[in-house]
Amino acid sequence: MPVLDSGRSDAELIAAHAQGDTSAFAELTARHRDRMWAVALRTLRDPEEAADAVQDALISAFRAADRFRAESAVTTWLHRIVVNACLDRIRRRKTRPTVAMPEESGEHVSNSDLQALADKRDHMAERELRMDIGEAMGTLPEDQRAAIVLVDVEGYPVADAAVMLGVAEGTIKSRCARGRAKLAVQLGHLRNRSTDDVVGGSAEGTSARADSPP
Amino acid sequence: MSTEFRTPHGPPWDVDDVADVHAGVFPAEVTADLLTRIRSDPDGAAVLAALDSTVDDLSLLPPLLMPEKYVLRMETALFAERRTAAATRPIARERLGALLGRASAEAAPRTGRARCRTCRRPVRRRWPGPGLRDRWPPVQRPRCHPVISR
Repeated sequence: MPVLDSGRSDAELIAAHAQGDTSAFAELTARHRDRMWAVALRTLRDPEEAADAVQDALISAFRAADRFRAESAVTTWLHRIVVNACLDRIRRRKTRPTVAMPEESGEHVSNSDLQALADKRDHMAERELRMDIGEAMGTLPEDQRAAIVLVDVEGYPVADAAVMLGVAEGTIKSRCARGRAKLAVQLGHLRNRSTDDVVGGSAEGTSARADSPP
Repeated sequence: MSTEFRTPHGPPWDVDDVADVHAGVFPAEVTADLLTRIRSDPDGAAVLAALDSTVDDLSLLPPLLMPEKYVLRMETALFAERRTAAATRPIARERLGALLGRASAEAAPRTGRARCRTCRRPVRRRWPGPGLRDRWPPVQRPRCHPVISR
């Protein structure tokens, strides 16, 4: 059902909802739903979980609207609730049992299998495959991914991202820096490297190259 | 909060240090000086360009729209939440007056307190929980005396 835009600001809608206006929260939801969905999906990388996280977040916001203080923008407040719902789900996901990889399972792996695996990995590294950005983001630790999603993908200022994630601005910058350095490798803008690689000067095997778009 | 930090040196430049400078981890004046020095080194400049390209790639990701099936699911959940909230919210004086059979809304108790059906003393009304919301409004006024069946 389409929700009409009454032209009220986010803050006015939250205040109206807290006063009992039954249409105000629906209008607020319709206004921010897709961006919250994008943040949740890109953070969790699972549509079902992302939908649940957005739903949980909106219900929390519905209940807590009367406690909203205009110290931050409504959109920052809503996204903070969504991000927290996503991070809660990631933490819960970590506690679930995982299927062991062959190396961890204790089963016998023959030398020829190991060689084939190593060849496959070398081949993939040599190809410098430009990974899909979504896949590449999936390789990042969740704290770096959440910072990258908010700052680089959704375009939020570092200060807003810091409020949403409940950390200092410097922490957001550091997480973005670490994440971008890894993504630069994954996306083929930077050659594969170890974490303590250096570039330039007398260092051998320079690990950086200027990106040359096709 | 500590403002101490280790200023990176180069060339050669550590890639993570270049990424920190690129992200603005250091104070503005330090960042400006480091950027000048990194850009003067071809390999350092290449890392900066690679980081810029990465940020460009990320910023060009298309906006996502929530699929209709999830929108419907979410709206259904929010509708249920709205019903629950409406059922547990104290009702307006006007409606309470009408429910109690008063002649006008003005006759409704100002505080929303009801009276015992037996002794007419004020009693605290118990608002129904979510499970009872479909039966709201209550059809009987409360009582403070036990009912003895004969």
